[in-house]
Amino acid sequence: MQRHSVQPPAIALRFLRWFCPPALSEGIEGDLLEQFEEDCANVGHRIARRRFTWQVLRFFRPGILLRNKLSYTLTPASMIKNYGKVMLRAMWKQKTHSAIHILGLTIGLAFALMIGIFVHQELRVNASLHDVDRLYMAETSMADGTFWRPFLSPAPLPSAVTEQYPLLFEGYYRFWDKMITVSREDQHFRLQGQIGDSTLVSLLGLPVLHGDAVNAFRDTRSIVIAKATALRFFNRTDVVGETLTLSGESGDNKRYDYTITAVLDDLPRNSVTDLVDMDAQIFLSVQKNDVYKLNDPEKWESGVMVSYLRLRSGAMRTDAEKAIANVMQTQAPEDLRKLTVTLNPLRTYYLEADDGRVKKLLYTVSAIAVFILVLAVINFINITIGSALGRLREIGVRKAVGGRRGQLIAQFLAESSALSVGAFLLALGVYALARPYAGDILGILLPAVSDLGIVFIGVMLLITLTVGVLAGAYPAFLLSSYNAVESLRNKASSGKAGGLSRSLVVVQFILAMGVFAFSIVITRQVAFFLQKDLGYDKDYVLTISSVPRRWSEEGVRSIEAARQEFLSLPMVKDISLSWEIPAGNYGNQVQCYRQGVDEDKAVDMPLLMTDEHFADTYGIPMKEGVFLADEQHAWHLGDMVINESAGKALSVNVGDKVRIKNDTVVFTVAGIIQDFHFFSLRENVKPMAFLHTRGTKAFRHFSVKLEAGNMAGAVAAVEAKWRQVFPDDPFVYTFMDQELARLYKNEMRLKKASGVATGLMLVIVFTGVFGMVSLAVSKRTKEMGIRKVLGASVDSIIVLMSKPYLILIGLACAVATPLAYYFSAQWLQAFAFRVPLAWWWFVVPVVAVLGLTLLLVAARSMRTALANPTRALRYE
Amino acid sequence: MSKEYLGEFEELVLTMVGVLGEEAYGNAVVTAIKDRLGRDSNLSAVHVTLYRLEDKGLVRSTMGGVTNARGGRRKRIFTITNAGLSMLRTMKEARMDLWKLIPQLDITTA
Repeated sequence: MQRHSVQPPAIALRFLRWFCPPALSEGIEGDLLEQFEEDCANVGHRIARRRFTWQVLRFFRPGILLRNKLSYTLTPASMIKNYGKVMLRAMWKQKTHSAIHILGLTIGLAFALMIGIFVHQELRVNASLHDVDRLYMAETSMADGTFWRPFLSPAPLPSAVTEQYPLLFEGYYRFWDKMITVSREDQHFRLQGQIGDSTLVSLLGLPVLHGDAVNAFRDTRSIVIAKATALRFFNRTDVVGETLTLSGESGDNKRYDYTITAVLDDLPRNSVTDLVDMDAQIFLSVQKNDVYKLNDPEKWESGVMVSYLRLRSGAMRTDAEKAIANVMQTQAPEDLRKLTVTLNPLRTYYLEADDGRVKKLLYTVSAIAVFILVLAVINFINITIGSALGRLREIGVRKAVGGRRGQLIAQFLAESSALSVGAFLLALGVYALARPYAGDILGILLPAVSDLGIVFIGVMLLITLTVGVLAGAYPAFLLSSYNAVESLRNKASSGKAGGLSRSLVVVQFILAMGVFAFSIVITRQVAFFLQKDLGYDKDYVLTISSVPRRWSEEGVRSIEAARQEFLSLPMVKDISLSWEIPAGNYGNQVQCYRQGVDEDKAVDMPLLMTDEHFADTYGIPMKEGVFLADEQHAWHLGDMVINESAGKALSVNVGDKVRIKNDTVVFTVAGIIQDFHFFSLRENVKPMAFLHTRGTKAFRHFSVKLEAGNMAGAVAAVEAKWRQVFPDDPFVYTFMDQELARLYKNEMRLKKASGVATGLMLVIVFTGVFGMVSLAVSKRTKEMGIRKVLGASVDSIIVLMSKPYLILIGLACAVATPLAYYFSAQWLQAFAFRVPLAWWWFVVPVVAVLGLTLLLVAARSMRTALANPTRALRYE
Repeated sequence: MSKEYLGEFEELVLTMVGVLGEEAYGNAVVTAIKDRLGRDSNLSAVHVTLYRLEDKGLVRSTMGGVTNARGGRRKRIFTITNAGLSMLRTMKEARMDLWKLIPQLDITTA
């Protein structure tokens, strides 16, 4: 008893008992205790207890843990070989069904793979920026209504807050964007530029391929370029020290030499250099700039910039926002104080921007991918259950010779997993083949199979196995539950499985019909976007964005002279010189008010800069007055045109005086133009004002209205003329309708993806239905023979076979239609202008599914129904 | 003919089981290795090896009688089987055959 007063650590003992197989535990425990008692006597109980624990831990090893856990002695290799052989035989015996299994799974997995990559890439946008969790975009909002562009904020704000609150803010990067004509010898390109702070590389951690990352903007004429730009001009990337020539905007056609100080590596997608798809290629310093007429970013009058701020680690966003509000209230001039600037985390900016448009798109496509996988899994379950009778004997034999239920379950699960892994390998093949087309649809570059990355493949494989197990689980448990004797006599019925199969088919029909209807809605809405009367004529309008920026009086005159040259081309109907084209992008926002009215009542509106031919070129009718000028009315500096909405908002008519806030000029309304859709149809028509390019001395686009007919020839002719008139400027053009289509990029992607998904879903559903029908037909061959002998007609037999499906489709229709209606209505909510939902959009999917199902059933049962009944009766 | 090989430690443990006769259990083997060869071995390693030898059919195990020591736990006593003995013998012979080919070790010519 004395010796038992010292006990070994109870935890260790409990642990040992937990992991140790019971058969071994007594002997091991005994040995350990014996050693413990000995140690107690020799080295004292404290060390003994420690040693005991250590020894227990050392027993925690595979040799002990796995002993008798793996039944390797019971499942020898020959058995596994047998499983494989039986599986292949079963597959071979039912080629159609195996093909349906594999086809469905392959389609589902390939689609899921692509969607997975797409979602992954979209989620990774901005993740590559240095310490992105501390980067924020300054966003502006107003108490009344939305700010012009939420991503713009007062220019000096970042530097002011960083100076005043150095403990909160670590740094900032701001920029103004500018398209610049860049030349080297006889190569000319218009490139997107950012003129911003010198913190570009250090704050954002952009990867520098060559050159000076720390002090890239050391000289007045230093330029940082992207890798693509280097390749474009020099065909190599190591171009630090080389010179590029940039066109100025002073109107004297001057060009300036810049020295390349750094080349940035390909930038992963981010919301800085690629904000609103701008894809900036060249970067200049706003502080050193002496070429472009820009405001000083340190002055509050300078307007707004895109700004990014980095908080110090540990600094709270709410504190930082309070600091910003404080600076806005104390330092900003009176008229800016009504603005609220908040910080939007850059990590989620891309997903959340524009009311979370991207996020919604991701949810939608992920749901569709899951639906397709579900359809494939259902096919698998249904056909396995349906064809189980063919394997009843095998199950009976296995059970009779001593196969345990667990073994049978494992066998069937392994079979379905093996099938899905096979399907996954095929899906990789499909992916490799379909990659270019799919990438085009999704609007991203899909990586080659070899570039997918181990983790990604691993995750996909895990999903594949899950799908395999899900698909195999029910059949495995069902099949293994059959009684050995009954299955040997082939007497077991799959009665209880029939109900499940039918409800799964209803699910399939619901999903297919729902996605089909949704896809019609999307297609109609996108078509509506592109076909709706926008209030102007977008057809045959060629827009040239590379008009040389000669922003001076002589400059305007020289461009107007050039316009006459183009006008002399026979296929050119009209040309307008303007800053904006009606595709949502505009340069200036002003606050207008009727003279005599309180300044505070001023209405925010975009200010478009166009010449007097704009209305004619785009075929926009005038409501009243003239569009800036005509034969009778010469243009004056104070002439302004507004649209109908602006007329109502300001309550002015032609001839009334209008003021722009912070501007001394008194404008006269020369004309009121009919409302047209300058913005995307997601938004309502806003009030707008027009001033003449001759007055603003700023412009970007030629809009060339061409005669209907040979477009390619017309473009070639315009280009040839361009080479002659502007030999030193590139000819960059698009057609207005293409430009418009870009506005609806996300919707277009969704339309294409849902169209493809609908096609794939129908393929999967109908191969599934086909499989089930053929099973039913082969099972009921004898019955049909008897019916025919007793006088049934071919029609009645086909009706008999289709009846169950009619009921299922009816049920599915009752569920799918309201669901599809609900989700479509939800989706359309996001658009200011939307197509009215039409009843036939929801009827077409039902009719299509119904028709195809009946066709399949009829085709499959026709042969048996027509055949000689004696043959059917002898069928076994 | 034997395709089965024994590792060095396995062979040692198997030999010890033979040496200890009726008294071969985990702790006894550890102590015997320590006493006779002055080599430290770990109890868990010895256990695992014993089980592996049992799987190979070279030793057999039975539970011993109840004692007051060891917290009342019985010992798992291992005895060497005929297969084990023949395995030891084969290994010894194979080794001797090889030894004879090493001139420095050849006793007859020494």
